Amino acid sequence: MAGPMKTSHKLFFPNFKRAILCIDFWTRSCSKSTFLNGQGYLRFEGGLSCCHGNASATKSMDCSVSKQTDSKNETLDIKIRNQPISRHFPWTSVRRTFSTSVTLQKDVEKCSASSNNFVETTPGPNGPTLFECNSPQAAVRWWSAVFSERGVPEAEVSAEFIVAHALGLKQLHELTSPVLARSLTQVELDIINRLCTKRMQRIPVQYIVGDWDFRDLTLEVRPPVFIPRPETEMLVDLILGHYSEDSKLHFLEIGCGSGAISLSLLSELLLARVTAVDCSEQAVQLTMENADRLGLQDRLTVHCAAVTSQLPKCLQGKSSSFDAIISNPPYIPTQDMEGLQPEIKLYEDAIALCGGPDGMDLIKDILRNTHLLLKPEGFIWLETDSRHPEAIQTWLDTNPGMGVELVGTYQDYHDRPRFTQLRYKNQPSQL
Amino acid sequence: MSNPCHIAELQNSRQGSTTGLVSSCSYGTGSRESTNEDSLSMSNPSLRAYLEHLAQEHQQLCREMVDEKNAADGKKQKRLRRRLTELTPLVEKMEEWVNKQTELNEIEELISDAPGSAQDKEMRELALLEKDECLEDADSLEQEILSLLTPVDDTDDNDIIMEFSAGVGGQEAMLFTADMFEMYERFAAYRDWDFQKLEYFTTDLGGLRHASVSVSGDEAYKLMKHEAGVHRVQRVPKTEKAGRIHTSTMAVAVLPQPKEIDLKLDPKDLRIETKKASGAGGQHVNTTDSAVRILHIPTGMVAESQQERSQLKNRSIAMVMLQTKIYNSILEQREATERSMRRSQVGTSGRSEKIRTYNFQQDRVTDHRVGQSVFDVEGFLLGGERLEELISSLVNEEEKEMVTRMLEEFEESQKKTL
Repeated sequence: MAGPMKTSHKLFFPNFKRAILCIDFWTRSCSKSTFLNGQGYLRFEGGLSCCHGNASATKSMDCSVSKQTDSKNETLDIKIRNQPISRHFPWTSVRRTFSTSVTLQKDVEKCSASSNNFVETTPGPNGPTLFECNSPQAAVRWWSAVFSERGVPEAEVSAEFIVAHALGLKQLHELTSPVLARSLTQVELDIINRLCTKRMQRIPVQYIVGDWDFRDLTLEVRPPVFIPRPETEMLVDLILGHYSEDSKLHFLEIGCGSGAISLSLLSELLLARVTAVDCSEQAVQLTMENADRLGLQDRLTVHCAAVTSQLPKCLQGKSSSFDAIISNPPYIPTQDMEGLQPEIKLYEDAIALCGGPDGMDLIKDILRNTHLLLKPEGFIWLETDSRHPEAIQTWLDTNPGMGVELVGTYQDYHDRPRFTQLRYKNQPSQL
Repeated sequence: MSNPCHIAELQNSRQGSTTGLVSSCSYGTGSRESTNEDSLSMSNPSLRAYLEHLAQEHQQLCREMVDEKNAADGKKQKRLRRRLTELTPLVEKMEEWVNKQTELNEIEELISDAPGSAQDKEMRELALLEKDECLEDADSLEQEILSLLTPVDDTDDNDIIMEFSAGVGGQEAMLFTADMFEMYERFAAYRDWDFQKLEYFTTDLGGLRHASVSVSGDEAYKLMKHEAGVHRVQRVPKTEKAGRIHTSTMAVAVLPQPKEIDLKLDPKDLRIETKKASGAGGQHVNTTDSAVRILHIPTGMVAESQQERSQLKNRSIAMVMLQTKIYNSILEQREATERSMRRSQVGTSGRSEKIRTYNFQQDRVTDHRVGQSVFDVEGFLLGGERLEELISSLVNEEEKEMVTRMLEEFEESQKKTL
């Protein structure tokens, strides 16, 4: 058999892992029912480096959408090429054009309201026309110029990520030469212009493209759930370096956000179990979705609960249950909050960021509750602000009843003390 | 275990009989016009001498193995045994080959002795048939012996990093670089190799400025090392309006990646850097920048990656690239000292050497090292059987060269002992 055929099979029939759905809607009212009509494009991203040669990954589709006005359940059924895909999102977000990244699972996908946090935008008059932007790279140039002119940070890479996303890729360099050389279609350019307009409003790139990589995992991210930071990959490194792969560990993560830490631990320690809590319902929902998508849900328990000086119900009666507590708690001191980038201040959940006057509210609460959770000799692994390791030591010195000692601090790649390791010694002498 | 004494005897008797029984031409391989210049067949006297030398060594080893003086010396025993396992298959094949030659001679005798009667004619035909079979067997044995002689390169199965860089010729060179990149990507798929992009810098027109990939799979280095060098294209570029033929080049570099045992870097010698975010870092900053740069302090070598969206992945890519750089500089040094010891310029050809031309007008691909041309450029660029065939003839050529060199060295050393 001729060799190259092997390649083309892989390239022409990818396993659909990710798709971008872009539908233009218009409504038609008729007595009791409102009918929505839509037309759009569905773009698949395969396991391999996208389309190749003359294989086009874009499928044009006609979809019909119907919604009963008397129904209080705001569910829309969209039929794509006669394949029903049920999507659930609030009525308001369907006003004009809707574009998001969806994950296809057995043709049916539940998708929650990911776009309602975005300000509704129309593809403004400021976007380039097809004539001006006939290639993906031209679109990148156009928008990165606009971004830097308007002071949007990371102008060029922002444009690159958005253009790549509109073409169904993670990054522009995944494009192979035939695709790079071809012109954009009007629909692709519309998506690019719309998403770039969002970037002008300082929406983080991660929220715009809808997913981001953390270690070996690709996680869905959506506002207002905290976007995993690169530093946190190193926290996982530290933890993995400390435990052996074949030990049956039970971790507790406090403040799981998108699930980055918990899911990384589960994917790399195959015998580990994780209990994760977060006080935000959106975060809990997102963690569960990410776990489902990665097939890691079986060893993960997620609770929506807040750890304060009191333990929430779900964590009561669990003394000596956990081998380690892991947390990337909100650690930004209140007075720093005002000075944050618009990307963070406007779109990320302040609850996941603000750690109180000294940035240590949750850190202290974790230390206070350690004796009700950890096994003796168990560890606490924290990512904190660079000022915190010292402050934690001072606080432990003045509050000796916690039964916790600081065993080590570790620096990030810029030599800032970023991670703290603490050990639970024994029952506290007093409470 | 074969009987070494027996072989040595046979070898000697064969030498003695060359002039006697068989005509003065080479051993029973009359059908093939092999001369001594075409060096590598069993008729090559220095090859014969070398093989005999090995057979004697084998014999000697067998004697030493059973020698009681050595029985107590564990280290020596181990060394002996290792060399013996190297030599035994070779010696066995040689023995078979010698047996075949004896058989052949007997048949020859039968044929030449037979008078012209009808019954004998039948016998004669049978004998001729048998002779053909014998010749075939001897030929394949000969091939086996030659490939057993070829020293195994430790790096044959190493993973590799391939680098593609556009050379002279502007946009057209970059378009050609993209074509070459795709050819090797398809070839990797054809061989069932893993092909992972590490760096990929493109141009607007769909050209490729520079790229590097990590390739792993069976014999990846053994096959791909012959692809390193300058590739030249002669065609009318897509960008050319006047229809003129342009000549452009691109370069491929193939670097073996170190296996774990080959190279260990001390984490203390490494400095890992990421782009410094303003201010406090961590939760205070939102950035999509996950680029990682690693500096190896003792050598000052640097590798970086911004290929992936995750910092961890970028770190592992940069680490592979750094290890490969360091490993290859060690290999180069080692090769340079070996070469100066041998005082010859043989060895891997320079990376700047022009190795192949892709001529679209004449629809041919010419490899300048073996002087071989293949027609159908488009088919060749599919990276399938045609590329594989050319590569395997390069591999054969290399094996022959290696054996020849080994024989030369052997002859030198023989002269010295005399």
